[in-house]
Amino acid sequence: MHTRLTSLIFLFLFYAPIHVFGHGAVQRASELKDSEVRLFVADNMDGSVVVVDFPDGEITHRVSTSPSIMILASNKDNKYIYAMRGRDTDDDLTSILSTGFDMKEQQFRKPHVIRTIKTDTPGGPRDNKMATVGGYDAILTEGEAEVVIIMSDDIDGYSELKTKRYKIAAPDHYHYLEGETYLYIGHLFNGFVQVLDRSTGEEVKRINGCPRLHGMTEDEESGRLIFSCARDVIVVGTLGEEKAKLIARVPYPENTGRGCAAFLKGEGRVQWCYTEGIIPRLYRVDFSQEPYQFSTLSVESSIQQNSSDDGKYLMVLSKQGVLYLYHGRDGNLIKTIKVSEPFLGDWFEDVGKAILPDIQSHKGIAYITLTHEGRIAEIDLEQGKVKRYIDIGGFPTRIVLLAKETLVDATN
Amino acid sequence: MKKSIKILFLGMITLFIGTYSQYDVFAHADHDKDAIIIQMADIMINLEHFPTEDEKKKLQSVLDSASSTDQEKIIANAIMHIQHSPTVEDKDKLQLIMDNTVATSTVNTLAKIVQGFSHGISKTDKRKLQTIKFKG
Repeated sequence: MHTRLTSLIFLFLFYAPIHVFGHGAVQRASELKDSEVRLFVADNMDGSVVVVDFPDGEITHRVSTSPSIMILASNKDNKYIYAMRGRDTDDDLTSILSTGFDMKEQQFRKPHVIRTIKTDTPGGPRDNKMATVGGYDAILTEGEAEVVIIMSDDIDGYSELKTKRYKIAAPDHYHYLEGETYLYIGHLFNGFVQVLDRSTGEEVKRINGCPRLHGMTEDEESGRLIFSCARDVIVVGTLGEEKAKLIARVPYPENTGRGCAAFLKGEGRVQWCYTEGIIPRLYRVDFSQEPYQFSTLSVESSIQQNSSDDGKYLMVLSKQGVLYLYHGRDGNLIKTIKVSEPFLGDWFEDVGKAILPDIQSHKGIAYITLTHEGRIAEIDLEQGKVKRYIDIGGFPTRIVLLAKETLVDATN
Repeated sequence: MKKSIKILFLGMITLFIGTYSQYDVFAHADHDKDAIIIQMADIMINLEHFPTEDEKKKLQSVLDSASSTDQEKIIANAIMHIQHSPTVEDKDKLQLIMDNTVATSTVNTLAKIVQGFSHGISKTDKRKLQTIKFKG
């Protein structure tokens, strides 16, 4: 009897661990990835943000956000990516994504949506960077006419999102930058620059006389802001005695018919600007030479332009799918690179959603979203050739580029 | 009386010039991007052999709409009568659209795809239709 009982106990003990540990430990696989460059690409076929890591060019992840992305921007310290919807839906949302960069490990993880918030006609970013107020991220709501400042240092899915709101003069399409102590808000339709006190949000003054204000930039060395008006640009100071004062008006070159829409930072203090629509011309201005004046550069009908991160190259993508590389200071043509088939038909981008290709670069490598072909071209600017294509599918448009070295520098 | 007419006339001229000069201001306005062409492209993307009753209703509304152009009506009619492929008569009408429009325009592209339809949509044509839906 004892023998049988003992055998049963042994048999039980022999099998028991299998059942006890049926839900036992599994091997956890690390998702850390040691990439040099991470691209966030808005695919407006379905509103997903496609994450592509380099140098291997692997599509690491697709993050689903609301459709019709208009703006994709990273925040000041590159911890978050903001995806703002355009106006072809009646539900204005902004999704805040993690970049996936693990500060401790100094490598990348897979990004995810942290939270999605309601924002009435969101805007404010410039050059793919979020607007800031005193170091905090800010969203300018063009419907409600407010600066919504996100006061939370860390954004997560649990905590209350602390915000502070400043009233803007009127609903409008804004062009915004932060100065030393003031906030400068250009109004497109109302044609003025409203200046707010950064700490109180109170209006300091308005700088009038800038009809069809549709673009802006800053000359970092002088701290001056440049706003594009219908027939000229106005230069507004932000530092010392120049603060919130109109410094100069610079007329566009005669008989060009169009004003500046966006500025591209070239070599030194040279900036380039292109006008609305697909027309064969860019403007050039050197902010180290006063009085400021514009000259023109004739280019092929162009669908997108940018300057390289070091300002060395002015990159102009023609409708024929050719990338023209000009010298970032003087505009001399250096080389041409065939990157895609032509962009056939009309490519008119309104405020519904982003449809145009984008160009970003880092250390001599440019990345271009070929929206019409559903892929990205990776281009070696020095060698003047396409290194490879990465198929994204859908319709890739806006790009935010994060370089690991920049992120590491920021954490140290 | 004459003075008031003159003022009214000058006012209208001013209003006209003012409105015209606002073209660039509305660069960021919402544009109607060939909504009817987009609607028909959407139908064509998933079309297999012939349109469904629901799709026929949508196409009929294009035919009935006063805002549809003659070219859009010809395309809508051709899609509606597809039985594995368009009729010979519709193919001829579609050819006329192709002959009279810019080759890269959306209406030309759609007409060409409808004319060449045979039982289903090829991968290449599907991408073209998706592009029409995407950018208008």
